[in-house]
Amino acid sequence: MASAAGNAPAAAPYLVVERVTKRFGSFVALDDVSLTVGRGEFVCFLGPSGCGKTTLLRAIAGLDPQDRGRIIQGGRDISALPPAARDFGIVFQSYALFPNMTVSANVGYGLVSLGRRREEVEARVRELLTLVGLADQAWKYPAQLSGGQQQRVALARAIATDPGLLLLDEPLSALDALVRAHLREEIKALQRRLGITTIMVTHDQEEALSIADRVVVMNRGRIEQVGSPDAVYRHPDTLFVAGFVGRMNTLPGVVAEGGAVRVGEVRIAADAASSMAAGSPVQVCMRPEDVLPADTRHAGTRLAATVRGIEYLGSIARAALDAQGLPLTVEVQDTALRRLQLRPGTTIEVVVPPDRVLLFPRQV
Amino acid sequence: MTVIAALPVRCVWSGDDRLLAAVVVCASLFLLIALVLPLGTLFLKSFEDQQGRFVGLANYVRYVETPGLADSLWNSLWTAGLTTALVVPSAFVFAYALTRSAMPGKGMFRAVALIPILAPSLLPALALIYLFGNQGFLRSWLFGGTIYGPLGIIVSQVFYTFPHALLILTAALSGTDARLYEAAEALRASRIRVMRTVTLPTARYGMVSAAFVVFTLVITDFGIPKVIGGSFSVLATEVYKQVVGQQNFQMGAVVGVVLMVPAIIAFAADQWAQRRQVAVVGARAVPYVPKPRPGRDWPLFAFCLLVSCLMLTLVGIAAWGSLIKFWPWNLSFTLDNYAFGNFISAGWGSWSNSIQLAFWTALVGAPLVFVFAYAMDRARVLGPVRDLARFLAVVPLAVPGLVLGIAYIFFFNAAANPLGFLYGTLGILVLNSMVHFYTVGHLASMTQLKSLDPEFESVSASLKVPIWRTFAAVTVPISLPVILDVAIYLFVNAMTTVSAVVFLYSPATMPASVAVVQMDEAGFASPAAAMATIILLTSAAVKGLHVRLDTHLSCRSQAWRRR
Repeated sequence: MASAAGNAPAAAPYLVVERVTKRFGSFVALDDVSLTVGRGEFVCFLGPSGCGKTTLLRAIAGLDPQDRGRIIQGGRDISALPPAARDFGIVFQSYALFPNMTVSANVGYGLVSLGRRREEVEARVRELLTLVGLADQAWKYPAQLSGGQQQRVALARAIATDPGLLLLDEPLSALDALVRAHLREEIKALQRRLGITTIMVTHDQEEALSIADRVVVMNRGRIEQVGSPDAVYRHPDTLFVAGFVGRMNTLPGVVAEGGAVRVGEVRIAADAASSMAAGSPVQVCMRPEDVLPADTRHAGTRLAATVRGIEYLGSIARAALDAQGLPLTVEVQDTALRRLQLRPGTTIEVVVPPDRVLLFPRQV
Repeated sequence: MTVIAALPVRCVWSGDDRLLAAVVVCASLFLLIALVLPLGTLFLKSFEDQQGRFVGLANYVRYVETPGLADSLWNSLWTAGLTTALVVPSAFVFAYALTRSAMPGKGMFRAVALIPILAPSLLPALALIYLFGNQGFLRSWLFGGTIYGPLGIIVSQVFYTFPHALLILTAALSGTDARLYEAAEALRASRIRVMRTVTLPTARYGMVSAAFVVFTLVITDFGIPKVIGGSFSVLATEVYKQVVGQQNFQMGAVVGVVLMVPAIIAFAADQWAQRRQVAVVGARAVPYVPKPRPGRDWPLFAFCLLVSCLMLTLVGIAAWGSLIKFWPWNLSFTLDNYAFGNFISAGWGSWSNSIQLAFWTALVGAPLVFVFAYAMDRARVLGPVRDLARFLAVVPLAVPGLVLGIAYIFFFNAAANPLGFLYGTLGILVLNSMVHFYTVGHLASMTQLKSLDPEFESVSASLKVPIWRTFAAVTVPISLPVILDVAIYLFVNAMTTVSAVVFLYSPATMPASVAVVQMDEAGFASPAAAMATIILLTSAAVKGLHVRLDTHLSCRSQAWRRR
C-alpha cells in the first residue's frame, strides 16, 4: 500500500517491526503492523488519539509487549525481553522526573547503577547538562524548573547511558506553543549531533513534518503511509492521510471523460482522472493553497466564486468561497489579500491546477 | 517483502517481575493465613456440633429458636439504625460548618470532634454512668428511666461514631468544585436551590458511605454494650457470652456468621457509594473558599460549640471521675484509682502490653502494608494472584473484630495447626490487629501510589536500575508522610481496640483496653475510667508526636515539594 520510495529507510535497518499485533480485550490497538527504521534516523509516529502510535512505541520499549509478531533491534530479537534487557532511553509527556532528587541526581540516576566511578558520573552529568543548556540548574529540584527545562532534564537523563534508541512519547504536548517550537528545533539538532536513532510519537502534524526524516501516519491500529514529510503532504496515499496531514478541501465527485472529474454540475480538470474509469465515484481533494486566485498565470479549471467569510491569521488568510455552488477554502498570502481586496461578498475567479487535484476512490 | 508468520510472544520475566511476583505471593499467603483460613474455620465450625460432627443447619435453627438470641439481633439492628439516624445529620452539619462556612475556630472544633477516635469506645459509656448511673448525680433527669440499656448504648455510640462520620463527610464536602458554585451564582440560583442542586448531590455518596460505616461500627462494637448495656442484649455481647461465658463455641460461630451479614451488606453498599463518589470530582476542580456570611456562620458556630462542649464534657467527666475518691459521696481528689495493681493482677503491666502491641503493630504493619500495596499495584505478571490479593486486602473492613477474634481462636487453637505456638502470645495480638485494621492502611497506600507518576518504574527499567532501588530512592521518600499516617492509625487502633483482642489475650498479655472491661465487670468503675483515660492520653501523645514529626518532614522536603 505504501509507496516504495518512502517505505525503505535511507540507512541500514536498525529497528525492524514485523507483523506486530496487540489487543486490549476486544479492541485491536495494533493490527499486523510492519515497519523498518534505519540507523540514525528520526521517525515520527503521527495519528489521531487511539490510533495505536503510543502502543507501538510501548511495544518497542517492552513496556506493553505485543501479543504477536517480532521486534528486532540492532540484529537482536527483543520481542520477549523485559524493558530492562533492551537498549533504549525514553522521555514521557509527564517528564517522570524523580521529584525528590536534584537535576544532577536525576540525570546521573542510570549512570550510578552502571557502577561508574563518582568523578566519571559527575563529569558525564556536567557534559549532558551543558548539552541541554542547563549547566547552571544542576542543584535545583524539578519542581523549581519550568516545563521546558524539566523536559530537557528528562531528555538528558534518557541519553545519559548512550542508548542505541531514543523513544519520545509526546514529549512536547504539555508545553505551550512557543516553548514547544523552540524545543522541537533543539531536539532535532541534538539528535543530528548524537546520530541516535529516534522515534517520536505525536498527534501534532506540524511537529511531525518539521522534525522527522520520515513520518509514519497511523490510523485505527494500522500504518496508513510511511514517507518523507513532503511526500506524505504532497502525495498522500489514502484519503485518511490527505485529510489528517494538513488542510484539505474534499468534495464527492465522479470521474468524467477526458481527464476530468464532475462535482455536482461543475467539471474540474484533473490529471489523475485519466488513469481511472469514467463514472467511478471519487473523493476530490485540493489543498487550500493549491486553489489560486485567477490573476496568477496558471493553467487549469477556472471557477467564478463569491467570498463567504475570511479567517485572518496574520501572514496568511483563509477565505471560505462559494465556487459555482462548491464550498472551497483557499489560503492566500497577506500580500495577495491586500492586492485582491478580498472581503465577504467580493466575487473573484480562482484557478485549480489539474496536477494538484488528488482523487481517492469513494465507496457509494 | 517475504511473508513471515506472526508468532505469539512469550515474555521473559525480568528480575523486577520476579521480585514483584514474589512479594505478591507473600501478600496473598499472609492474607490467606491470617484472614481467609481463620474465617473459613469459623464458617465450618458453625455447621458442627460439640464433637466436631457435621450437623448442617442445626446450630442456626437452634439460634433462631432461642428467644434471647433472636432478640439480640433485633436489638442490634434498631439501636444501630437509630444511632445512624442521629449521627449522620449532625455530623453533616458539623462537616458543613468546617468546610463551607467562614466561622472562627475551625481547627479547634475539628480537633475536639476527633478526640473520641483516640479513646476506647467504652470511655463515653463510663462517663455516662458517672452522670446518670445508679450513683449518678443527674440520675433524676431520667425521670425514673435507666441509663443501663438502649438509651446509654445509643448516646455512647453517637459519641464514639461521630468522628468517623465527620471524617468521611468532611472529605466528601471539601471535594466540591468551586466553579459549580460560581456557575450557580451567575445563573442567579437561590441559596436553597444551590444547597439542593449542588451541595447535597456532591455529598450524597459521602452520606451513604458515612451511614453504612456508622451502622457497621455500632453493630460490631463490643465495649459500649458490655459496659452500659445492662440486661439489654445485643449481638456483640451475645457472642462474648456464648464463647467466654458458656464456652459454647458452636453457637459463638453461628452468631459470628450472623454478625458478618449486616457488616458485609454495609461494606458492599459502601464500596458502591465510594465508586460513585470518585466520578463527581474532576482532577481540575478548583477548591472552594467560603466567604463570611454572619447569618450562616454564627448559627453553625453555636452548633459546633454545643457539640464540642458535649464531647469535652463526656471526656472530662470520665477523667475527673477517675480522680475522685468515692463517687459521688466523697469528691476529694486521689490517685488511688491509678494504682491498677490493686484492682487487677496485670496492673500497669496491661498498659505496657498495649504499648508493645500498638508499637509492633505499627512498626511491622505499616511497612508491610505499603510494600504489599506497591507490589499489588505495580506487578505486571501473575495477574490472577494479584487481583486476588487486591480483593483480600479490602475484606478486613467487612469483618467485625469480634468475628475475627473468635475465628482466631478456632484456627490457631486447633491442635493440628503448626502456627499454634502463637496462641496466647503477644504475637497473635499483633497479627490480629494488623489484619483487623489492614484495609484502611492498604487503601491509603494505594491512593498514594496512584498519585505517583506510573512511568517512574518505566524510566528506571530503561536506565537498567532494579525496581527495589527506585522503590527505596523515590517511592518511599515521597510516600513517607502516608506511611507515617498508616503507622499512627495502626498504633491508635491497636491501643484502643477491645473487640478482637478480648478473645485472644492471655493473663500475661492482657492489653489495657481489655483491662478496662475487666475492671468494670469486677465493679471497679473508677479504675476502669482511669485506665481509659490513660489510653486516651497515650494515643493523644502519639498523635501529637506524629503532628510534630509530620511538620518536620514537610519542612525537610519543602525544597522539592514546593516551587
